[in-house]
Amino acid sequence: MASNPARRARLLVATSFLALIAPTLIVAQSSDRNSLNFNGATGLIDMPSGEQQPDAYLTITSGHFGPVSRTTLSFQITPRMSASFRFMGIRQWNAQSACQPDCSGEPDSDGYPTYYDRSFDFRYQLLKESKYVPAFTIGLQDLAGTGVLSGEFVAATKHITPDLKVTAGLGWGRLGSYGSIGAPFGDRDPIDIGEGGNFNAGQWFRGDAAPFAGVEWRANDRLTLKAEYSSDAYYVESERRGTFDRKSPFNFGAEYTVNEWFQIGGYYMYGSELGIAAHFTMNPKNRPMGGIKDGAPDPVKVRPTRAADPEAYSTDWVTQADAASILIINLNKRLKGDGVEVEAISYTKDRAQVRIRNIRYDAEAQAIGRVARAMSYVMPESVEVFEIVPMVAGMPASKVELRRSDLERLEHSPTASDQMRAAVTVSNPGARPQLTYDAEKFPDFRWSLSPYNRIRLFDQRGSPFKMDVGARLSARYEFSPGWVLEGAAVKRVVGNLANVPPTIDTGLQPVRSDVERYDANGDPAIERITLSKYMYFGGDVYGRLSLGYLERMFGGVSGEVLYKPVDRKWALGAELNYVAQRDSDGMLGFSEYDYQTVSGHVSAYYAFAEGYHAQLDVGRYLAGDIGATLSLDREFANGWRVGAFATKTNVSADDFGSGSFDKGIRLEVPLAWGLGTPGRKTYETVIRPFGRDGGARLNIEGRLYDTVRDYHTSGIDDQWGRFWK
Amino acid sequence: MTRVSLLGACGAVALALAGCGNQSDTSPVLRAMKGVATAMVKTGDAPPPAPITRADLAALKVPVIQGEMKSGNSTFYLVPIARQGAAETWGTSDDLTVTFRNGVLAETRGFGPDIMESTVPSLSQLQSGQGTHRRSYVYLDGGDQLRRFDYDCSIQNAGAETITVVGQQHSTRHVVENCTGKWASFTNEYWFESSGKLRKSKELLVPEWGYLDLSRVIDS
Repeated sequence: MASNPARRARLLVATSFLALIAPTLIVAQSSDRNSLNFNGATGLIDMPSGEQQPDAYLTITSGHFGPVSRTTLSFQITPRMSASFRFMGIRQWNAQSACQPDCSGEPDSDGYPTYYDRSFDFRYQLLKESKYVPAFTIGLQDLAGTGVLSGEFVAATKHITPDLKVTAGLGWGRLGSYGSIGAPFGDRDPIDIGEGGNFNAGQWFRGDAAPFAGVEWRANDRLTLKAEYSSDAYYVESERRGTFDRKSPFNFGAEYTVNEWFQIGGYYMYGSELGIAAHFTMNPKNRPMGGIKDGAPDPVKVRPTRAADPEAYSTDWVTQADAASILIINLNKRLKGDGVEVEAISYTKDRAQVRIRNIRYDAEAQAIGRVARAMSYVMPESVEVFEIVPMVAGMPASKVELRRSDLERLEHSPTASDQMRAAVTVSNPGARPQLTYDAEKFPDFRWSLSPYNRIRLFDQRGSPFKMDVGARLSARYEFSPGWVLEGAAVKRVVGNLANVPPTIDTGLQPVRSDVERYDANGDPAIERITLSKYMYFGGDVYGRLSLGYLERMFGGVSGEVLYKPVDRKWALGAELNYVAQRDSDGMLGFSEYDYQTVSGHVSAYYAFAEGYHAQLDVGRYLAGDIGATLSLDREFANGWRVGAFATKTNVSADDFGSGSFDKGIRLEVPLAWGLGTPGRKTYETVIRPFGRDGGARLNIEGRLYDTVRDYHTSGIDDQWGRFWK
Repeated sequence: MTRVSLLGACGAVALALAGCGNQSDTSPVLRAMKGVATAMVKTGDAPPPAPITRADLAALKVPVIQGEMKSGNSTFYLVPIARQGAAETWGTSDDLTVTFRNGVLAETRGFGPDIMESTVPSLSQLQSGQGTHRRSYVYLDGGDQLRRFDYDCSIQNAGAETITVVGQQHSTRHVVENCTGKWASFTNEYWFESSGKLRKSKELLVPEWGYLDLSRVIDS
């Protein structure tokens, strides 16, 4: 055996590990990053500019001066389009109220000393900078909130020298509140805030407009100096509320680039206050540590030619009684280090199918590549066609078919990746062949005890950031293919989510707004105990049936059907649930709320452009409301996902409460991105400015679409380069 | 170990670190921290390994290449493990492999920023000590996309040189290959014996990391 000498060399080379620092290259870097402002938008200090961030950059900016603190998450949706979500706090809101006794018409902090607000921005770059043309961006700031920060702008930025650029712009609303030159597009009516959360389109670009300007000089690779003239009067903060004294429209700052991912700045603001800002950058397109570090695969084992060794191609093995179990054992032995398991196999004299579980590889193509190589060692020479069927939750997700001779021929080709992809077909799993299962793979039991955290943002009472940290015990038992019993329980260790706030009556069943009761009362709590059956119906149709305590707040029955052709950009699904609201103590009862409901959706999924994905769900939500949810996501090959969603149902804005309708942002970050080693775990978070009862969907695990599509054509192709890794 | 005892071993300390369980993918964070912890514990009391001698390597009775990576301050030993046409793959026992096409470094695996695909000259081309050619290397970037880097190269003779490879002297002819590309430039070096045997080479892995120094120690 070829690997024998390698094994003998083991003693000698025990010290030959590599302790290497990650390479920064192969990550296209732009040394000429455009800086961010206090609002987390590309810009000067407090003012925006005409520029944008590199495509797909996700940034977090925390800017503070005087009593004003802003923390902003921004995402460059496309090379020209960006959006921000911001949380702002203004301290000393009631310190000296120039507006007393009549502060009506001004934002209220409900008596708390700090006023908190959320806002959302959108910017579009109309022109990119070229020799004679400046970069030109139009933007809407706080376009849907309560309007405290609302303002619109156009801004142009031009480099004078490679290190010096100037910006000039015109602002409206808040950005037109100092040094106005008149109202070119008519009056700006006061905002009808209502429950907030609606677009204030009637206000955009109305009212007084004022110019702003600034310069930015890159003194060296690390240090940038900035000065600007601000058109923001801070009227409410300064004049009415007296939270700080705005003495001058001029701001000055110095920013230091610690590394590509972190910048920090110090500022002198409005002639009276010192400021500080920190900017964190992530590029979902590229891991900070570059390519994945993983052990080398065994090279493909090349068969002798049929002419050289005709006996090797004998097909007698097919009739050997224990052939199947020997093959499975040998495959699993080979794949152990790769974190891939073979559940079952089927074969004829020239064709073999292996059904695999990919436990380890974030790149599905790499799992397939490793299995193909293992098959080249284990399968008798007469087997020419390899079929690899990835299994998820007992369902075959697709079938990847390749010729063994292609594998042997192409491994070291200068264009191995493209040639191999052309030689591989991905199709639906097809009819179930006569399978032999590995008896050791069923039942399959997995458990884990791991930390969890639960974060509550935007709570007006006390700190706007509250968190629990504790332990979660999860277990999963797949007793036969597709039959899964699973559960999870949590116990808080430390945190400040234990106080139950006063209930606000919304006119709807508190299907989500009582989450704080669940946080407080459910310690320990059983999050889930479900029995599910996952099914492949043949063709392109998959199904799921779940029964039990489906999520923290609901239990019942849930059924789902999905139609997802492997090589199409779209899919259709339907889900129907009959659920009852669980007790807030996280135990097994349903009596606290005595609420049962039927919910369900018809869903359409569509990858409308490379990396951009839309989902539309239409149906009945948990509070009995009827409506639709639109989700838009940008998805990256490595598993990153950044998206936003909004749900409109027949619940009135009054009944819904603050925010008027359900909406939010979601982020999914693969741990492999940060660690640089293979793994399938992801960290997922949803940020809702207002968590209410309208438009709430059942939060069930194991929905089919995301379960199967990783192994469909696009999921395999987008990391195909790792087939040969 | 049974499942029950595993559960028992999964105490408060492990949990405080990052978690535990029987899932291999339970917590990469834990794995990383374990690694750090192990390294910290081992520092100091681990005796330095005895230096490896030519006799140790000869005892393996297979050809051995000693590889060194200056930037990683590491040494590794490769033995042949597979051949497919003109491509010969050599590996270490700890999952590093290097594939030579016609004797020239063409692919690597297990290093991290691996050469996934390449177009390289043949050894006889290099041995001739003259001529120009084009090289290209393909790497996976941090987004798992293949990126190709092209270089224009020229070969020059750099005269006779006596080199020492693990305690043994060899008289060789030194050949250098200068390559220039849009992103980087590099120089590979080769030391040929009069028989045409390539005794030692210094070949690029990736510009940011540098070169692999590959010494053919045991020929057998």
